[in-house]
Amino acid sequence: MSTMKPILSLRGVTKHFTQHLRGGLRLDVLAGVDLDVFPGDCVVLDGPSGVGKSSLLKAIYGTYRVDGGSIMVAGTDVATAEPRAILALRRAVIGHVSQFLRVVPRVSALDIVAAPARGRGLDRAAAEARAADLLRRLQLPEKLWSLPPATFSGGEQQRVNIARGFVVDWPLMLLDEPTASLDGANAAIVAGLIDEARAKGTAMVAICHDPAMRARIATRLLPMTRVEQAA
Amino acid sequence: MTPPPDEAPLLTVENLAYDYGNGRGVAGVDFRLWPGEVLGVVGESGSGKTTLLKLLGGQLVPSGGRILYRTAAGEVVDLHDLPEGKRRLLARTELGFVHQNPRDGLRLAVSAGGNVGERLMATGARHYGRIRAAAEDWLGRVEIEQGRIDDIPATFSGGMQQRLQIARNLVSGPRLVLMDEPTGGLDVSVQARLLDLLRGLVADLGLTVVIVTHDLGVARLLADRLMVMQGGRVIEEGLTDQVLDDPQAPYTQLLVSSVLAA
Repeated sequence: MSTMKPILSLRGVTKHFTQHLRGGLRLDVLAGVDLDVFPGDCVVLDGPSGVGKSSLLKAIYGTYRVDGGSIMVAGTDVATAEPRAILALRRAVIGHVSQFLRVVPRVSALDIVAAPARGRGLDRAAAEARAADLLRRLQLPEKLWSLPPATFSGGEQQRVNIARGFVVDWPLMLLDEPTASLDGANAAIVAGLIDEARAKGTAMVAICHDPAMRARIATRLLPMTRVEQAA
Repeated sequence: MTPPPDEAPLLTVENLAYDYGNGRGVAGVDFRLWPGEVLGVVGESGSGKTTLLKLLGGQLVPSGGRILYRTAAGEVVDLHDLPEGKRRLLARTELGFVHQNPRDGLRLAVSAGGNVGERLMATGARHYGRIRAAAEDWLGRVEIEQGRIDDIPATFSGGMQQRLQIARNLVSGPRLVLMDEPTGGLDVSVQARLLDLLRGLVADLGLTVVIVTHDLGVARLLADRLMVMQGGRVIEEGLTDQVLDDPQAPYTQLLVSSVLAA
């Protein structure tokens, strides 16, 4: 492990929000977060609601801008990179499974799942074959594949979301409660996907409140505590 | 690991200004746009976003600053410092402009096929059969029945007219497409279809686009990056999800918080 280079390296990551519509109310959410994540790791962010776990994932993905510190992903500092450098990371390096699927009007479940693979240059047929394979494993009924997921149940939408996340062999994956809306059988399938990706070298940072699932997937915990609020 | 995106920008805008003479207009606009990027420009009415688009499209002449464009031939030209003939040729071949009101971008007395074919003829195509075949192909891609090819756009619905305007712009393979509220005047259900069509075309053709919209949902769906304008200036910019999920400026926070989550 010591000779391997981290795919993700955080140093001193600090973030606050200023809510201008509430008289400039300041909320400190991250203070001096350090973390190294190596290929094959699955680091689960540990702490109660409100300690900044989702904020940290969003900072790594580049959705939240940070006040200070560095977020090195495969040689790019997300904290300071230009938008197009972050877009390039999102195409090639960082996969993100959000808590909820963002539904796009008129786009089928199969196309939603295949999109990241196509974004990486796979041709349509190959991308759709991988997408179909994942949807089959996640037991989404085949008659739903050609439909836009807007009318799917929460669990069905989340399985589409997870399939979309795993359709590419990402060097780094961010998982925000990937199994929260799934039953035990489907959660076990997702745990299997996580194992397989890790075996292929994918590093993961995850939020997972369910104790059994967390024990199943975590190789390490990152303890997080609420940031002292500046006066 | 990630190859540095090192190619040159397609568009470089430096300190761009336009003054309508009443204190309104745009000032101090700087940005660069790379091939394949979709840049959304958001802000309320009067923020200067359409003025910016008209400066980029050549309908207005800037009172300050410059717009550098890298042509297909690799030459970097100042769009407002070109001989008129060359500027028009570029506008017909490399640029597309999709107006909010399709009637501003179509020739209403000319058939649908003629509207699409005209841009090809302007770029030198002369073979009638090939022009008609290209027009048929493009009508299909924007989901207009080929049986309507000889009808004039006045007989089309608003959504069809907008799709025809898009076909007319894209048939000649433009490298930079400017869009002014392309879904603005349409019913919600028609909007969804047009958005989906635009999303697919942008992805499949790798188009470089500047799209002006006041609809943050449209911006989220189509744009990689956003610029927020207020009072003629860019007050915030970044990745689309950065600007919408972590807005910094008081005005952007107001804009984002004013949208009903659907």
